[in-house]
Amino acid sequence: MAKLLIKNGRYINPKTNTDENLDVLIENGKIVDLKKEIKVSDSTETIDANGKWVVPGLLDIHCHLRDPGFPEKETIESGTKAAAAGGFTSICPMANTKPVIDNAALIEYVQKTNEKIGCVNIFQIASVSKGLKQEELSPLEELKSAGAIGFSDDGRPIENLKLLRHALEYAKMLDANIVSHAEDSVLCCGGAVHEGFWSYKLGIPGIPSSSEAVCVSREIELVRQTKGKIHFAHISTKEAVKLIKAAKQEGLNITAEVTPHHIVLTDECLQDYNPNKKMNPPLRSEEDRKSLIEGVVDGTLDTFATDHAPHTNEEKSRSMMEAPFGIIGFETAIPLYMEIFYHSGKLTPIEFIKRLTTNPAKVMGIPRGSISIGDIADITIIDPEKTWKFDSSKSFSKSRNTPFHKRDLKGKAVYTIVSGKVVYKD
Amino acid sequence: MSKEIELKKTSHISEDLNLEPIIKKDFAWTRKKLLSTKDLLKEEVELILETAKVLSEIPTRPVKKVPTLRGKVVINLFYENSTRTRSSFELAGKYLSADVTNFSISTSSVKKGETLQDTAQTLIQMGADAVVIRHQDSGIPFQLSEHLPPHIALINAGDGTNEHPSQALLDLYTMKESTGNDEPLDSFLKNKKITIVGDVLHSRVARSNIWLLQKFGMDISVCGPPTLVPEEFSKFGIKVHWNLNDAIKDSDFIMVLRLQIERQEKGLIPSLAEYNKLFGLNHERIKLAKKDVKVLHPGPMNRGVEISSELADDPNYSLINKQVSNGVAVRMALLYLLIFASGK
Repeated sequence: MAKLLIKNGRYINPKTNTDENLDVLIENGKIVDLKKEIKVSDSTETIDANGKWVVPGLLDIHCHLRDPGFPEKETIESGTKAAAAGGFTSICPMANTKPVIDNAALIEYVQKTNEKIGCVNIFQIASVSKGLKQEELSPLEELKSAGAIGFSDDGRPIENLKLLRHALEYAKMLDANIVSHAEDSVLCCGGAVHEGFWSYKLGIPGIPSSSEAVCVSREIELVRQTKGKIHFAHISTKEAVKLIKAAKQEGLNITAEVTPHHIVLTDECLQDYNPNKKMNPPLRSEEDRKSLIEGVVDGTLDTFATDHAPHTNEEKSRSMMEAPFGIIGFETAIPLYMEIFYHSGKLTPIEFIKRLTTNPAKVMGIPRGSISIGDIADITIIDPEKTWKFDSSKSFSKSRNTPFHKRDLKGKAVYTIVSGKVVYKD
Repeated sequence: MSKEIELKKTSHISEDLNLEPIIKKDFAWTRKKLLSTKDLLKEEVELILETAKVLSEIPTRPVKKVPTLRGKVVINLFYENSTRTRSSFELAGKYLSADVTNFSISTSSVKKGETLQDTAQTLIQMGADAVVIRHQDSGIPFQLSEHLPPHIALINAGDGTNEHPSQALLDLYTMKESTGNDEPLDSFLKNKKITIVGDVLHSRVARSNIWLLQKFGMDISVCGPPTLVPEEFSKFGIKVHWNLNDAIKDSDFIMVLRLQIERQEKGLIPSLAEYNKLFGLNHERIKLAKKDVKVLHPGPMNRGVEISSELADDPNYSLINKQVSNGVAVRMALLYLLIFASGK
């Protein structure tokens, strides 16, 4: 494979705590040199990254590719393209496909399909329970051996606490994470938006904060008992942040993530009854939003994810009650996170990038997230100052369900490189 | 073009209707859509009520018809069963000579994939001048309005647990009429108190009334068990009571809401008997309110649950029958104003 030189960029690698201007030379899909002013022959393909950040390829450990089963919403081909356009080189799709990813053959299907038509790495998350039915455990070892990176029944909580207990115990043996969609399905039942001032004002049935906190709380108890590992997906409430903070201080094996929408939006924006603002967990209050931001800054919440959740226009033109939960998120994640954490000065570039690379790699055990010499050349080049508007009609995703259509954004992935190959160029 | 000139040029107003003093007002009505009472201007509310007052006389005539809306098409688009509201809008349109047709769309066909865009196209192609929509889910009228051209008038006739603006307007009209008060609404409602009793959390009638009456500085209390009247409602600048005797003290009006029987099935209240004991309005309790207090109920009533039969039928207190006849008048006014509005 030919060489590729990335020069004049600001090299940021949280793993080695490096943030300086370095050139990066790639050969045969790996990083072979790293220093100031690397000299190469004129024929070597070169990217001038002046004014840009050269960072480890970004990881999104929470998304939905809808493949197999829902090609009208997304496929591995369209989903990985959207991920690449958002700067992600590795993603972890959830198992709530049709059929549910609960056996080795389906892991193989995803991997083979991705080899053929995908453009970023997929580290598949398999289901905790067979068919997401919460009756029996999926064959966790078989799935792990086939390539599953972790386990989750995401989309719904595991109400069967005995099953969850056993999953936590069993997954310990495999050193794998259980990713928790923390909500109490009875408390949240029938709700469409956050319960509070705006749900009362707009007359939309609410989902109380307690539905998340109650579930986080009981699952922390199970982690304490089993000494297993839980990663809490899409944390949305101040109560949950508080519980997770305390559990971490106690030294329990707990990690957590946020999504861009919970960090950027609140329930106040629901006044137009737009189902593209309906997601689960719902957009919460300003107090919750502030608490999430604080939680990210103080490290309670470890990672930035997207919870990219495509749905068709037809589904999203139903009422707030009938429309499905979820929004697409790959392509807008970087600028939204930058708006809140980088452009505001809350996080340094290295701390910012850490939450999209080293931290998610560590949480899920993904062999990526660093760009030292010898590492696989998964690299994202970000223009932190680029201003642009997201046009959902031009999204690489098959779906258009986003509240960020036409929003002014600042910061964008301009090159996405997977194993030394440019898979997206702005 | 001001409304005054515009209406004079048209011959929609029948000779024998005395709308002249109303349309000569300085205020130019441009609104084409009534989806909520939140964004209604005080001037608009005054104009609706004054127009309704003039039109209210039509149904009392031997020949209950004027040609005002002749050649106009009103479509009642009802996704949720309703007899009263639908008939009220239907009659309102017919008294004004509009062609009124009813679309009743069952929920199942919606679930099969009939999108709001498709429905909107159908309404446009059928030549609707006004659409009256009722839906079991909150917000649908707002979503539909995105797909309708500006020349089609749109009225929210109840969306989920959100709003029912024409009901609030007819309630206000009825309150004002009951006192014979001729002042502007600001001075009429200034030192008046209303207590809304019942399932406020799930009530679109309560919401529309709260947003409407608040504009004119009325003192508003809501009352019911905490499961149906959350404490957080006080953030809207109204008083929250869980004790009916306290709540109705000094009330000029008491609005009793219909208790959906399913609230008991869903565990929000233990029993209808207990609800009646704590929150049922009757002659005994109403003594705690002002002497000339009046009672409203949007109907249909659960007699013996939220209100005693005797009280509901007592003409000294009850405005319930008046609400029904005034409902038609207010809806005539809405159809008239919205259909002929310029939409600017």
